[in-house]
Amino acid sequence: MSEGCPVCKKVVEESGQEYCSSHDKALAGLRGAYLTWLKAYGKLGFKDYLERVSRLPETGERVKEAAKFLAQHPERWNKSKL
Amino acid sequence: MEQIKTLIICEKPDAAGRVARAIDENGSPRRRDARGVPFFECARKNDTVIVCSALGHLYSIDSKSRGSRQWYPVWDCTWKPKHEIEKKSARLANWIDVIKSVSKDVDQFVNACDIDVEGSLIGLSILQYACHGAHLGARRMTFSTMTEKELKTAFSNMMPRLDFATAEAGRCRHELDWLYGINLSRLLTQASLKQGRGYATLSTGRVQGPTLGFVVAREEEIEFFVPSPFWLIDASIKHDGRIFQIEYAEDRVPTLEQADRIVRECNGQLLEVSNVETRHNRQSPPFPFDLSSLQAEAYRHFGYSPSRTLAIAEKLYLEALISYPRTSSQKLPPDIGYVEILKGIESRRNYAGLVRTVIGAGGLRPIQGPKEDPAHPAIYPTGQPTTRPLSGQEEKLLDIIVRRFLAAFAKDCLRLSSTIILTTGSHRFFLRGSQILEPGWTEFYQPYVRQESQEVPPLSVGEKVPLHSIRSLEKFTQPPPRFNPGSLLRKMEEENIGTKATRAEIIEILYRRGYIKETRIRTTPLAVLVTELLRKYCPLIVDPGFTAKIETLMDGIQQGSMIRRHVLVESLSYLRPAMLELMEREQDLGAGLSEVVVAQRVAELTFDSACPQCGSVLKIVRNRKSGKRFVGCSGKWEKGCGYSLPLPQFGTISLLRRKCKVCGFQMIQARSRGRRPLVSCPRCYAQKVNSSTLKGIRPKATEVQSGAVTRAM
Repeated sequence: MSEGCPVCKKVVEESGQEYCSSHDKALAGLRGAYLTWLKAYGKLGFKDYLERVSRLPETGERVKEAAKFLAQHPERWNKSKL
Repeated sequence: MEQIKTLIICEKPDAAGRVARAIDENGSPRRRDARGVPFFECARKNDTVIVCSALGHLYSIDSKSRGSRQWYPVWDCTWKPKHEIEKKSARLANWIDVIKSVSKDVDQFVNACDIDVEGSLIGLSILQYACHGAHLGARRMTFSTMTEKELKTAFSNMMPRLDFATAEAGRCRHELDWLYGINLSRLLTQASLKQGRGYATLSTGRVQGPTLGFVVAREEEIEFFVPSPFWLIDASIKHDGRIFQIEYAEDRVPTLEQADRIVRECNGQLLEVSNVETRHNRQSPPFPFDLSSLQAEAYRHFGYSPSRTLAIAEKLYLEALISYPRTSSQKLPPDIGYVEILKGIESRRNYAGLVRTVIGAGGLRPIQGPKEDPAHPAIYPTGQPTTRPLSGQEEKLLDIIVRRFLAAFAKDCLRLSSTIILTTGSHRFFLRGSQILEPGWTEFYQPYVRQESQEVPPLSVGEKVPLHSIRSLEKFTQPPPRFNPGSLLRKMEEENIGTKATRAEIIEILYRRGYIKETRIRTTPLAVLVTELLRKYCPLIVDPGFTAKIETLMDGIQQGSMIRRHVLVESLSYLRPAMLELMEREQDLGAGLSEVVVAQRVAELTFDSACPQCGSVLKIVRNRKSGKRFVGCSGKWEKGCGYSLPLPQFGTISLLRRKCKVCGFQMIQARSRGRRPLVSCPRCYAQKVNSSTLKGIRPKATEVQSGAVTRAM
């Protein structure tokens, strides 16, 4: 049985999905924006990226949750569909 | 000569009074009162005219079979006296009885309710049901202002029959809204209630659904927003001892490396003027007010919610100070009598000079907007004197209407825009300025428009100026702004959702249901879940395209190209399958809804700020004996903590995310119908109360400033 979304522990409704729909969308957004950030700063590790994004007031709440989660679980970043 | 007895039905008692005074040959009709219901008897040569009024709708829709109010689905409906449907409308029984009794022996019936869908329907239903089918031979008075002159003209030139098509469109709108609303709302409420975790009114509807959908979609955009970095080049030049800000040609530099290079290459350089461009810009006056633009402008300048603006405008209309406000027209036709209105306005000291300028310029031709309304012109002042001192809010709204009307006759505002292009190497900078050459309408529309001028130094091509400063600023893209009541109303209008008369009320309902909160609108988890469920099982309900399509069908009824029955049948054909699907999933829906309802109820009552005495959670508590609410400490029973703070006893209280600037405590908002929301810090207010009590003074809520109590704008 699924343990729920690793970020918020909510039940994951879609079979085969690891995260709930909200955090799945937030993670996709985070991954997508990393390339823009990398291009903007030239050199930027993903940990630094996640920390910066989660501190910005402009960042959406779901994205902040996802960024904090990935910062605590960096091994999950490599699972990202970059 | 044979006497004729006429009965005129007005929409509101104030309107009836005005109509009666205009029609009575001496201007003093006999006011009579039966069971608390006023009506007027007017003398007019040998004839008798009775003017009575409704109180808005006296008839409404209910299920044909009087079953349980919890039952759904409901597919049949009928029109009944409102007092038989709602307990709170009990006094309307007297209204109907009195109209019935005065309608005996009447030769001629007249509907003088407002000229719109609702007014036509109110009049028609009263004439049909209370006056024994008198609607078939009744006549219609049409007017856009409540001035004596226009009312007299309207009485002399009545339409020979009622506007049946308009009333039918109104009837169809009510029936559809009722059927959609009652079925979906009962389903949501009952599904949640059956879980046995308490009652909460959950609602949705044909207009509510998509409106909430807009807010939820915006909330999602904000929640999932990932900002991207960019850089701004902040630079200035110095000329004749004065500093002028300049803009880099690329307003957003996408990379840090590029921003650094620009700063490095330009720093300390002389900029050469490569071109000086000047251009004359003509800015036309703003269009005359329709209701939506008035509501948006009143929100922008005074912070009035759309419903408040409408309520104030209706008061001004009933006092004959402005024309009918529920209009979508932006046109001022000549037959409203420009000169007479302007002369009336001139008698008010503030506008005398402006009016003289307008009249002095000759050739009165106001600017006309693109929007039209077949029944009414744009909102304009009548120029009539006030009969009582106006409240501050009424005064402000009247002022902006008068100034907008005057501005419509004024000339364009002429500006000279200058752009100096400065270059060094491959880098280009712009120095922009503008100067007002002819203020035109902006003089008439003060203080609601800025008259800013930005000077540019007298530089000519080839001249060189030193760069005074340059640096790059790291910025991030911003999420879309939250809706506020004004911008949400505009969105509804853009998407053709609801009518000008109902949009403001729909937004108020969303607040009352606990779906949205705060002035910069935030959605609650309940709103997100309800929208999610509807998107999944009944997507048409949250689809603005569907609602707009039905609006178009209803417009067709008004224009005579559609039949009410066909529109009803087509619209309900979408609802039936959706209801069946939702009913099959009632158990699942209820489980999710009740969970969120309970969580939201707890969240609505629990403060973020901890108790300063024991550190426990602070909550809104209600005293069982007195029924009064206050902030209480949840550590009362465990720790014996007696910490408490007073709360406003009126309206619905919501906890804001904002913290008090003075003490850091979580602010609250008390929201009640017809009043501006009151934003307050319970702790500062309590301190103020305590210190005043010690001095023997009772504080006024409005006296308490700086975070304690403020009226939200």
